Amino acid sequence: MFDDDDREFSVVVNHEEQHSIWPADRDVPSGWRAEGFSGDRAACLAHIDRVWTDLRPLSLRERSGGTA
Amino acid sequence: MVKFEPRPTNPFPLVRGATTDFPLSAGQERLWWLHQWETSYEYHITGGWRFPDGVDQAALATALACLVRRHQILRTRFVLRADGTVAQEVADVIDVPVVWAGTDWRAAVDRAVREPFDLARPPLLRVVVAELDDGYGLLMSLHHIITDRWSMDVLARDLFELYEAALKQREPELPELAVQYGDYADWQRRFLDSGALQPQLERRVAALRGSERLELTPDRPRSTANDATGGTVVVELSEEATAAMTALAWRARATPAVVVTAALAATLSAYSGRTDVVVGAIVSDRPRPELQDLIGFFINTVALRIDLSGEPLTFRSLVTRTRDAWMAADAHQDVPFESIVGALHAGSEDRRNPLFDIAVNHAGDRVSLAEAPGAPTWWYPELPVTARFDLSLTTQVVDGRLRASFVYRSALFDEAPTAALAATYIRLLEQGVSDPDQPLRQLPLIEEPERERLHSTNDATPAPTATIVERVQEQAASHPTAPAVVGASGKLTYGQLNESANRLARHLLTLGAGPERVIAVCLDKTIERYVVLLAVAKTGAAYLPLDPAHPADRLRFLLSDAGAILTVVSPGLDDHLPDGVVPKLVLGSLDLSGYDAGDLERAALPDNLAYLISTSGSTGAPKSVAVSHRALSRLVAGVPRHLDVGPGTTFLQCGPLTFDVAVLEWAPLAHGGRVVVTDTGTLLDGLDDVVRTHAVTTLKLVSPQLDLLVERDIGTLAGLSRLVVGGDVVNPRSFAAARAGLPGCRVTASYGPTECTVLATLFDGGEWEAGRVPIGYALPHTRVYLLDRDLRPVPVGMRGEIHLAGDGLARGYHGRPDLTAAAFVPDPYGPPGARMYRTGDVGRYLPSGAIDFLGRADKQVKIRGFRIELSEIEHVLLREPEITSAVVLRVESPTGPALAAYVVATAPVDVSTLRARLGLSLPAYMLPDHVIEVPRIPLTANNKVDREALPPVAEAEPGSAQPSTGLEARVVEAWSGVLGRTVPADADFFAHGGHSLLVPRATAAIRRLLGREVPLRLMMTHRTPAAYAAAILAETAPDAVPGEHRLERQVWRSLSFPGERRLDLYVPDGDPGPEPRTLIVLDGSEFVDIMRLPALLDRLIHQHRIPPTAALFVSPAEWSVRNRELLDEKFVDVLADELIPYLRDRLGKGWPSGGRTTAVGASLGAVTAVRAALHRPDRFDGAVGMSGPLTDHRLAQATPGDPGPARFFLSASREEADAMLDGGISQLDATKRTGEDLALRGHVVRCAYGDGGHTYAAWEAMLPEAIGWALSGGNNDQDGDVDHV
Repeated sequence: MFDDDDREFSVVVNHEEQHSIWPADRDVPSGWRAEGFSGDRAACLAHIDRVWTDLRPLSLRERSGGTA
Repeated sequence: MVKFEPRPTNPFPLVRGATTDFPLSAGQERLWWLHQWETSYEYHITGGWRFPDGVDQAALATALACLVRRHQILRTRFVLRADGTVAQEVADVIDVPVVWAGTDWRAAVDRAVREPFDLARPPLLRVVVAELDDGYGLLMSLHHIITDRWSMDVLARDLFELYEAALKQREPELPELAVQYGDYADWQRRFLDSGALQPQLERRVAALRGSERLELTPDRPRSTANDATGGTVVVELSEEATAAMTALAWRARATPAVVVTAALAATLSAYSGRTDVVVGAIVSDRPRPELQDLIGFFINTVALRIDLSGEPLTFRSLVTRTRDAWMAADAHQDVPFESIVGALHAGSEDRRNPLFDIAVNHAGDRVSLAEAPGAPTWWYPELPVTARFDLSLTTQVVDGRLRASFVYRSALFDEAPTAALAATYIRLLEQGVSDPDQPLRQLPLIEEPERERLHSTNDATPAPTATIVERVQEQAASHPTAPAVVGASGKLTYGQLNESANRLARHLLTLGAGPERVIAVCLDKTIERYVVLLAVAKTGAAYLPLDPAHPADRLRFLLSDAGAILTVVSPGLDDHLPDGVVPKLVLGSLDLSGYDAGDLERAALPDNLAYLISTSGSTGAPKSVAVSHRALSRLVAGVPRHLDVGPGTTFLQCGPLTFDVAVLEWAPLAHGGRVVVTDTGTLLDGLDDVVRTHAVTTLKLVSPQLDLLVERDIGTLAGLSRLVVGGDVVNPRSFAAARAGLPGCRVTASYGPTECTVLATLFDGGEWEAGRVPIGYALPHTRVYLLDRDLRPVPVGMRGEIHLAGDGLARGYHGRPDLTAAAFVPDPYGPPGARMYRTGDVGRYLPSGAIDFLGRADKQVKIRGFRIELSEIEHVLLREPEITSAVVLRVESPTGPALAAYVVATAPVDVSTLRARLGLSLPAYMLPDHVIEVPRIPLTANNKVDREALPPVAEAEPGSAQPSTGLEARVVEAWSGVLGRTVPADADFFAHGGHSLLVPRATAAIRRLLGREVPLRLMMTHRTPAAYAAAILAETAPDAVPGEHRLERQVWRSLSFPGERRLDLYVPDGDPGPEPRTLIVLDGSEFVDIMRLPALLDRLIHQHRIPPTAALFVSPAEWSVRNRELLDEKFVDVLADELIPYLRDRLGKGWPSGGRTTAVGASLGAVTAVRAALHRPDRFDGAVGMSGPLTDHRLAQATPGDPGPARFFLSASREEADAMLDGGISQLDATKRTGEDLALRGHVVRCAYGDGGHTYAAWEAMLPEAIGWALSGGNNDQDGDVDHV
């Protein structure tokens, strides 16, 4: 499913601000929310590459006080 | 609305014929063929009925006699005619014996059911009467070729009426039969032969072209032995859902048969992950009312191709599509299945149903005659279940509920996975009919309780958060003197390790180390490496191991990609590292004594990175997996449940630090065990010493390493208490050998990618099946899901991609958000917000819930239209006793993609024997095209197979399309004639449009050619003309006539014509006598191997019909130049000036020289033989020429000069009156005319005309006469006359 190039995906984010993709026609699993961007797989991944600049989980970033 | 073409009407009249001799119907022809191929009880149809009040012997005899009289088909025999066609012939009378088996009837019933029928000897039905506890039972067993299920109802009705009538001595009341089965077959055959169905055939073929065989993952590898033993699983739909199904069918203008097929298509699509599904449908087809009351085979098999592509597909639209597929197939159902198979070239696999392995059969729409009021009651003795397909679904509505029976081949499938499939089927059908507008791909495949059961070993609890730093510090505090690390260079206690690490950590801090910083390490295998790794961890930084053997470019890339701030390097490895990228800290020269040895303040939080491991990406650029302390803690916390790593234990793994298994070493360090650091190299030299010296208790190996050790002697590792084997495919034999060879040691298989911190699942014991070692269950704090392409949990037995979740997941790919987001996706089955990692590996659940690893998803390759699981072939290879490791790859060869098997063997591998053995358990398309022996499977530093390092496959010989012998040429000719296209000598008959029904015709052609029996099945096992020709020779090789002679074969080179050629020299035993004779025979191999001329010469000499005669048989160097050579003027001189002297030389002194020779040839060789006698009278005094195209221009004018008359024996077959030669003259006439012409010129000529055409058989039959006359000398010959025989 995730390798389907023709499928429409949404960019989704969880509570740790980890990003992923999810088929646009499916309900987003609990604990995840649509980030707002959708498109084909490649577009979504390219978008994620731009916006997800810090792979650290949010809770770690908060505890580390933003240093990295 | 799609417009459908109607089924064409057979325009011929269906009438009662006067003959008793009929063709076979298309369906019968197929059954007849299957019977030739393998005689089994697979195609026996049985019926049993109860006689509560006893059976009257006389009345039953009368009834049976009347029944057989009424239905011609019951007294029909099936015979193969000489022309390769099969006919059914009706006998006038036939006796049907009744076995009165009494109370001990079981054996008689078994015999009746299982014993094969001879289709040429009717009756093809058996009757057993059994005495039951409550009355009598009558069982009939018939061959399918004369009956079907519907017919069994007709039979029961007729039999009981006839029996009643006989009992009551009244006239039976049965409908008149206007026609008989043979009339139907004839009627159908005329329609088929009329060509009217060609457009239907073309459309059907177009509809099926490009479809792929849909295959379920078998529980056991497919064997080529046809085992029809079956098992049955029955499931039922609720009454409510059955009503909903009928309603849905009605609204869709379809039938329940369509709906049940749609649900099967949905199930198979889910199971196979494909949207193009082909299933067979078994339909009863009695297209005319006159056929309703007949007994006979009226079954059609049609291939339904159902398209499930497009989103979102609902069950309702699938029903519509299935209906359309069904209607299209129905319109074309007059086209024989075999014609379709042939046109699609789909019949190439022997002993396998063409096109599909899965069939559906809905019996629910028919009101059974036998269920009418007053009908006889059925008797169902327990009979073997036969599976004619891998899986077939038969549905029927019983008491308002749909009953679905799945019959599966027991040789392939187990009951539990089939039951799971049946449950999935019913679940999809139920959901589909009750909510037909839901997208199909969102319907769950399994019930929630089953999902819970399969996921019950998943552990969603969080891992403890204590990092390895805290755990090692605890050990150091509580057991400071306990050994922590030992190696060749000494040992470190926990106290020493911790203190050294503390000092180094403080130094590293001065160099910038800290959380989320990356420090590269390039370390040799000494005990100091754990000082470095622990020190890095203490600073909060992550370590990145570098392999000193890697090229500088790659290392440079890794360093910059990871953003390393420093490289810590062992003194000896310094020069391996690229300079100037990051600062280096070379160990050994450091004086850290000034640093405090006390513990540092905790620096790393659980979610900070602990290490990076680079893996090769599929696109070539390496990527680094970033693993947090939390993930490492999950590993360290979970391991003790399965591995001994506590105080007193000693752990060893033999991989390099860059290999992720090395992180397992943290487990003993965290739990007070001891780690051995040693460098045994990839070949594990001296491993047994290491194990002994350090008293290793727990050893971790990867699968190829285990193979290596088992090959050497696993017993040398005695003393281990725990052995863990990981890697893609664990060799089951090695696994078993390790268990047997290491008593007291628990042997465990493990599975896990770097992305899930080395270990995800473990198989701890228990029995395993299917020749595979399972990977078991999830580790603590780990969840495993097997999901289909729609992320649905799969049932037992179905393939699913392995997904992993839990605290063991890596953070992602360092600096690659896109790759991370693509591989780590939302986990719909875990706690809110959880992620899961898509491994790209495929597995399935065993009934116990343990996971069976099936291979990489991308290891499934497609070759010649077949999907092939490479690991499946590897598994089968590993079962060979001499093979210790195997890797199968898809390679490109000049003839297209091919399979290459690289094997490590203890004894030299004979490839053809190996292939033959593999052929016992693998279908032909899965047999490796190349088998390459290698001393060992090369591994990359990460212990994966190094494909680059494997030797390339040797150039396959180019497809030599040309035949290389005369026999091959004739086989090519015969097969090409049958197929209507030229078959190359190395081409598979079945891949060139051949199918099983053409085999009798092709074989008949060969039988005609050779004039002797050739078994039909020879073509199934020898499928190319070259192989077939060789097989014929092998079958006939031992000459039936033991001769007293010498027959020598030599290789000879002519001075003037190129190439090495085969010569056979025949010399009779005994005294050559005063006037011995000699022969030069052209196309020698054919005269020796096929026409058996040496044996004939023996006989003729023995009977004194000819004088002692020596013969030299000369074969062409290459078949492709044979014609040119035979017609070359100078070739006659080769015979005269090279071969005759050679012959005389070989014969030696015992044979008087000087006499002249007779030339012998057939076909074009006849021309050469005659020319030899005409052009070189100095050496030849006669010729035997059979079936030669003897035209003037070919014979050419003889040189003048008269050495006296020669003797010519010329023959042709009467059938050759139809063979026209270039000059517009038939071969027969050319023979006549040449004979007359030669006679006019004063030669002694005899012309003979035989039968059999232009065949070996005809020539072989002519040879005694020809040789006898040509060599007997002229007693009563009249010079100058043509002696016609």
